[in-house]
Amino acid sequence: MFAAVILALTLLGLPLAQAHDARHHTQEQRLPKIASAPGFTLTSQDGAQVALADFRGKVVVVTFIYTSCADTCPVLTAMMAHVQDQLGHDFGVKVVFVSITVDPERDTPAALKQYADTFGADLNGWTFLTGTPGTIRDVTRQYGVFASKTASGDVDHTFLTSIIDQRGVLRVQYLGVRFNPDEFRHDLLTLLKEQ
Amino acid sequence: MTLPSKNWDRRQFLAGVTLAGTGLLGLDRTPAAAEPPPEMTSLRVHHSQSLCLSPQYVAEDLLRYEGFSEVQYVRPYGPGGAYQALASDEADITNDFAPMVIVQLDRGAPIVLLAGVHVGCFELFGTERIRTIRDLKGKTVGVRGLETPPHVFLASMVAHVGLDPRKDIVWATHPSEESMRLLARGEIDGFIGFPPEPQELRAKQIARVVVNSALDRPWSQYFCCMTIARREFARKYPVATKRALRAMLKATDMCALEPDRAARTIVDRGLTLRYDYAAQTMKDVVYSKWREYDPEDTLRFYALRLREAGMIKLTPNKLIADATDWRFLNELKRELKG
Repeated sequence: MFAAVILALTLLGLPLAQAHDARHHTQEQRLPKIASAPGFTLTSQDGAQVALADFRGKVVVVTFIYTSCADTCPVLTAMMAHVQDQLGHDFGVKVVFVSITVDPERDTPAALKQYADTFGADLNGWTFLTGTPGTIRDVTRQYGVFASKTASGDVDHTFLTSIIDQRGVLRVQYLGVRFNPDEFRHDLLTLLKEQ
Repeated sequence: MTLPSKNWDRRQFLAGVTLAGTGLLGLDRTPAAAEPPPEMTSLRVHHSQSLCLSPQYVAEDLLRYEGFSEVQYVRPYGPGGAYQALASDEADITNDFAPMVIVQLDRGAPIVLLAGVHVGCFELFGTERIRTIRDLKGKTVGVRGLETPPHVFLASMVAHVGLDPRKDIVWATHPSEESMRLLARGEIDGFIGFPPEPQELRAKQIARVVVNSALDRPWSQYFCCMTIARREFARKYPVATKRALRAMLKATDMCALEPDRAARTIVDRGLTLRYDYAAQTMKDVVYSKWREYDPEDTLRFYALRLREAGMIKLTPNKLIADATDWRFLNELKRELKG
C-alpha cells in the first residue's frame, strides 16, 4: 500500500514538477512587458501617412536616426540591415522596422528614400518616417529620446531602439548602437514564438 | 524588514504547484499585463553636489516620461542629509556612496538598496612622499569631516592594507577647497576627493594620484555609488520604485554613452559651472557596469572593510538579507539592454 502511494505521488508529482519547470523556463525566456508603446502617425518615405497601429499583429522595431548623420546613425542602420537579412521570410510579414528621423526639417520623404536605398533597406518591411518638427518632438519625448540641434546643424540625439510586440506593448529597449545584434535578433524571434 | 525570501517556503511551493497545474490545463497562456502607471505622480530625489551622481539629474526628463509629472530635488542639509531626508519622509529615492549606505544601515536607517550605479569616483592624492596607501601611516589627510564619504572610504582603504584608521591616520577636517590648498602647499600629506575635486587637482597638477578608485583594484571591481530608496516607499509603491529606478539606470547609460550631452545637462541644471570638469567626470567615472557587476559583491567587500575599521557591527549576510531588494534591478536588466 505504501509503495502504491509513493508510486501514485511520483506519477502525479513528476508531470507537475516538469510542467512547473517548463513554465518557469518559458517565463524566463519571455521578455518583460514595459508599457503600451506610444502611438504615432507620421509620413513615410513614399509620402503616405503611417501609424504605429497599422503594424498591429507584427513585431515592430522603432529607432531614431537622421539621414545626414555621419558617425553613429550609419552604424545602427547598417546593423539593422544585417538583421533584416537574417530574418529572411519573417521580415515584413511578421517583423517590421520603423526608423524615425530626428531631423524633420531636412529629412523629406525623398531624403529618407535615398537613405533607405543606401543601406539596402527592404521597404516591404522597413518604413522611414518624418513629420512636422512638433510631431517628431512629441514622439521622441514619448519614447524617452533626447534630440537637439547643434550649432553645426547636426542633431545630437539618444540612440534608443525599442521592440514592440504584436499587441502594441513595449517589451525591451536597447541603448546605444553597440549592442549585440544576435541578442537583438533573438529577442525578435522570442516574440514571434509568443503568438 | 520583510523582504522576499530567496528560499521557497511551503506556501510559495504550493502556489508553484497550482500554477503548474493550470499550465497543464492550458489556462495560463495569457501573458501578464503591461506595467501600470506609478502609484503617485510626484517623486522626491535627494540632491547631492557630487558630480558623480549626475545620472539622477540626467534622469529628470526620463522620470517625467515614467509618469512622475512632478520631480522635486530635495536640497541637502549637511553630511548624512540624504538619510535624514529619507528617514523623515522628505525624499523617496537617491544615489549615494556604498560605504556610507552601509554605515547608515548599521545605525538603522530605514532604507533599502535597489541597484549599483557606477564604479569609481574617489581619488586619493598624496604629496611626493606618499606612494602607497601604507605610506599614509602617521601622516595627515584632509577630509571634509569625520563620517563623511571621503573619511569613510579612506578608512575602509587603510583597513584593507592593514592600518588602523583610528590610530594610524591623522585626520584633518577642512572644507575640500581648503584641503586642496593645504595639499598644494605640502601642509597636509594626502587628500581624498570626489568629482569635481580630482578633476580640478589634476588640471592644476597639484600632488599625485595614489589611488584612482575607477582604475585601481580592488576598488575598481566594486560599485562606488548605489541607488537607495526609503524602505516604506519601495514596499508601498513598487511600480513607482521600478519606474524611478528605470529612469535612473537609463540615465546612467546615457552618462556612459553620451558623456558630452550628460555634462551639458548637469551644467544647464546648475550642478556645476565648469563644463570641462563635468565632461571629464563623465569620462572618468565608469557608468557602464550596472548590468555587469553584482551589487552584493560590493556590499560584502565594503561591509568587511568597515568591520575591520571598527565602523560597523553589521555582517555582510545580515546586510544583504535585510536591506536589499534586487527585484527591480533584475527585471530592468531584461528590459533595458545595451
